[in-house]
Amino acid sequence: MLLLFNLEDLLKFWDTLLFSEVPAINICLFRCLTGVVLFIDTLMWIKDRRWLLYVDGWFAYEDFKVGFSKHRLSLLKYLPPNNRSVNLLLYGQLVLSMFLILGLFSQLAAFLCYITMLSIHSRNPYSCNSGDIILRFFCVFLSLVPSGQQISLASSSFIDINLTSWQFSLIMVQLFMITIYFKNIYYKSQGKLWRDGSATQKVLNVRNWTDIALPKFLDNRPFHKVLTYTTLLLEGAMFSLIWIDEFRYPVLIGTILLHLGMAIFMKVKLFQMTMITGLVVFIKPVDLIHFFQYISHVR
Amino acid sequence: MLFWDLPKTSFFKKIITSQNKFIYRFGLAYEFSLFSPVPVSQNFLFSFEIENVNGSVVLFDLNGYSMKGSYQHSKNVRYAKLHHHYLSATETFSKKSICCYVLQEYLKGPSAEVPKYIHIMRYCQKAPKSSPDKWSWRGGRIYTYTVPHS
Repeated sequence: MLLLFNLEDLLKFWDTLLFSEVPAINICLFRCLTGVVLFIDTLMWIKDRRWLLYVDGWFAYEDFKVGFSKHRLSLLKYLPPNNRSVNLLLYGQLVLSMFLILGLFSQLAAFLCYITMLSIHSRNPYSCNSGDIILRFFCVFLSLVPSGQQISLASSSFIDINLTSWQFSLIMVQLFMITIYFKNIYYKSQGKLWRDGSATQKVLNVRNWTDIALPKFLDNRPFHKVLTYTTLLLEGAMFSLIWIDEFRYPVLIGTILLHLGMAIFMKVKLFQMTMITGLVVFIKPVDLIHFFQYISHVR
Repeated sequence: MLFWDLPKTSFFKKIITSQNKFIYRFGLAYEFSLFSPVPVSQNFLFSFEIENVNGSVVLFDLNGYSMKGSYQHSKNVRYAKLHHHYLSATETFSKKSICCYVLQEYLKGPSAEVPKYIHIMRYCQKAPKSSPDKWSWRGGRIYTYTVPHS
């Protein structure tokens, strides 16, 4: 009897946690932003395809076949081994990313984007970065939930406050995001340079990874200590304090500023854009609706 | 999905690892540790040397890597990742592939000799003790690809 009671409670909790209705605005905005980042990402691939993806590029098709085609799924394994196949995938992905931005056939577009991205990443895994991988996961999530009802060409109104979706659509992205921060903290806490506060000083002086050198007056030990510990603090807060209402927005704003700072000074721009996109799911839907209502009112 | 991020020794990670084949095939696994636990901390340069059968040596530079002052800059993060792979001590598959590309491009040139080896050169930035403000680059060959039938 006791067990039944508990099981019932557990099922109720499960239902409430995953299947309660929440406004769909977050997931729709998340879809749109994912589409934008994917569009930019695809343009980058197109620009560099000659060296990174073409049959006779830096990682030749033959090497891909020997090294990766058995272990990783890629449509390029099944398409004719020529540069046209690469172009087909890249331009196909570009069109699909526009579908995501516009909210047309969003689930199907997201799933196809996942397949094209997987194919491209498998073709040359050496040139992939964390931003690529996170973006691929975002497409998997978006293929599981409808997200084209708002901020979309398919919908009659830009924002509809009555539209809802299941909570699990947000939860899966939220959990994914916090695991990224959690893992970062876990690994960083094992590094001596992170513990003694000199990590950012090292990283920001590696010219191959930086776009803009830090101004001279900031390039000193006390500032780097502050920067290193602030990074750790914000990443730590992103999987802990983010769940507490009072801390949510300060943590979110701090983390967005951290990512923007890294995007300005470092080469990991795509990754930063992707992470900022993922942070959208932490904004309270009601605040997002107010924001859009305010914008439309101002316009 | 939560478990994919866990330390390799954890129980759940072991379960996931047992399903590695499927997870990797569908791109659902990743190692994610940006600049940790040990962040990148040294400046490196890399280039290629083509050693011909007649003993002459030709330098070869890749597109996407330019020099700004005395430092090598990657065009974007993808090139920075590749830079890292080409200079890493353990990775050899990508090194072999890029050497084949260098060979292919070299042979397209009108003045190409018969190549024997392609070397990847790595230079590390070191500060001489006597003059800490002046940097010098030290290094050498880290990988050699032997041209078949040379």
